[in-house]
Amino acid sequence: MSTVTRMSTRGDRQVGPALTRYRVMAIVTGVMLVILTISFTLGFLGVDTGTLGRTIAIAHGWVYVVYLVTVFDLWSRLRWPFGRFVALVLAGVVPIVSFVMEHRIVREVRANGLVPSPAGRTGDDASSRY
Amino acid sequence: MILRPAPLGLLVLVLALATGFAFLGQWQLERSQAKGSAPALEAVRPLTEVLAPAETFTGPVDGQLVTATGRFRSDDGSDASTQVLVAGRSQDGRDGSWVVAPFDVESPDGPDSTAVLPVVRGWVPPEVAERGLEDVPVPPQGTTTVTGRLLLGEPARGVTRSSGGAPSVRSVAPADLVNLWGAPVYTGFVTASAADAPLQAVVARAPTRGTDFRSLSYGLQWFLFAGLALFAWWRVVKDRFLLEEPAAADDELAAAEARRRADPVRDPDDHHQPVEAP
Repeated sequence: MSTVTRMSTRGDRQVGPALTRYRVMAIVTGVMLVILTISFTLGFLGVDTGTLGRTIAIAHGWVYVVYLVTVFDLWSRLRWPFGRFVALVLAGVVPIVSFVMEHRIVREVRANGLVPSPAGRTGDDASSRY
Repeated sequence: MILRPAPLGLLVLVLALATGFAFLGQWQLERSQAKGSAPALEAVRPLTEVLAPAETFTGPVDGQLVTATGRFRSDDGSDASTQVLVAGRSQDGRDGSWVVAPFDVESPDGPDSTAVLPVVRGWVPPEVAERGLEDVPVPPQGTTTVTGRLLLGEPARGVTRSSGGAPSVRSVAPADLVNLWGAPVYTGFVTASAADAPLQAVVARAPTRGTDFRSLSYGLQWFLFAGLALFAWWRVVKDRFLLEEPAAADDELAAAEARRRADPVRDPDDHHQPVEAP
C-alpha cells in the first residue's frame, strides 16, 4: 500500500461538496455520540432510559452509517491512504474525537488548496464557499 | 497486478473484517428476535376479563397467565363429561399424552353465561396413557380454581372413537371438543400450572413476540459495514494498484491530468467519468 499521501484530486472530481457533506455528518455524528454517551452513562448508573434510549441508539447507528458514506466519498475523491480511512471511521465512534478530526481534515484540505478558491470556478456555488 | 502481495494482504485483512462484521450482524439479528415474553402476560388475570366464551382468540392474549373459577364436569360416561387424552405430546424429551378435561367457567354475568374451557390437567407418560384414564385421578369436584397459561386453540383434527366407543381427539381443538362437550366453548385452552401425580404439569411458555428494533437496526448496519469494507478494498486496489501500472504511473497520471485540463471533453485515458455531486 502506498504510504505517500497523495493529494491529487483526479480531474473534475469535486472535493468541496464532498467536504461539506463530511463536515455536516462529522458534526452530527459527534453530537449524536455525545448524546448516546450520556444515555449510556445514565443506563450504567441504573436509570431506565427506556424507549428514548433505544431510539437514540438506533438513530445514532444510522447517522453513523451516513457518516461512513461521506467519509468513504471524501477519502476516495482525495485518494488518501487506507490508514486515513480507518482513522476517520474510528473517529466517528470516539466521543469528541470526531470534532477534532473534522477540524484537522478541513484544515488540511484547505492548506493543500484542494478546494477551489472562490474565483477558481464559475457556476459552482457549493465548492466556491471554500 | 491484483495478485501482488500488498493488495492480497489487504484483501485477507478486509475479508477477515467483513466476516467478523457479518457474524456480528447475524448475532444482532438473532438477538432482535429473541426478545422475552411481554411482562403483562406473566401477571395472572381472571380469564373472564381476558376472553369471552366463543370470542375470537387474538394475539395479545396468547400465553396470558389466567385464573378461572368453576367446576370440572364429573365423568358420568357421557360425551359431555368425558376427559380426553391427546397423544403425541412431549415433555422433558419424552413422548406422552395430555389429559384434557372440560371445565365449566363461572361467569360474573350469571349461570347463563357459563361456558366450557378445555383445561390441560397435565402430561402422562405412555405407560400411563396406554391404560386410558384409569390411572388418572378424577379432577377435583365442586367449585375450584384453575390457574395456568391461556393458549390458542389448536386446529381441529377430528374426533375418533375406539372400539369401546370412548372418544379421542388428536389436538386440543375447541372445534373438536365442542362436538363432545357442547357449546358454548372457549376458543382457547388453559394448561394448568399445578397437577396431581401421576400427572405432570405442562410447562407452557408465553410466545416470544415482537422485534427488538435496536438489534435489528444494528444487525443490518453490521452487514452494511461488511459491504463497505469490501468496497473500500476494491477502491484502494483500483486507485492505487490497477491504475498505477506500469511503474511510471505517477508520470502518466500527471500527463493525463495535463491532457484533461487542456481538453476535458475528449480524454482517451480517462477511465473514470467524473463523479458528479448528487
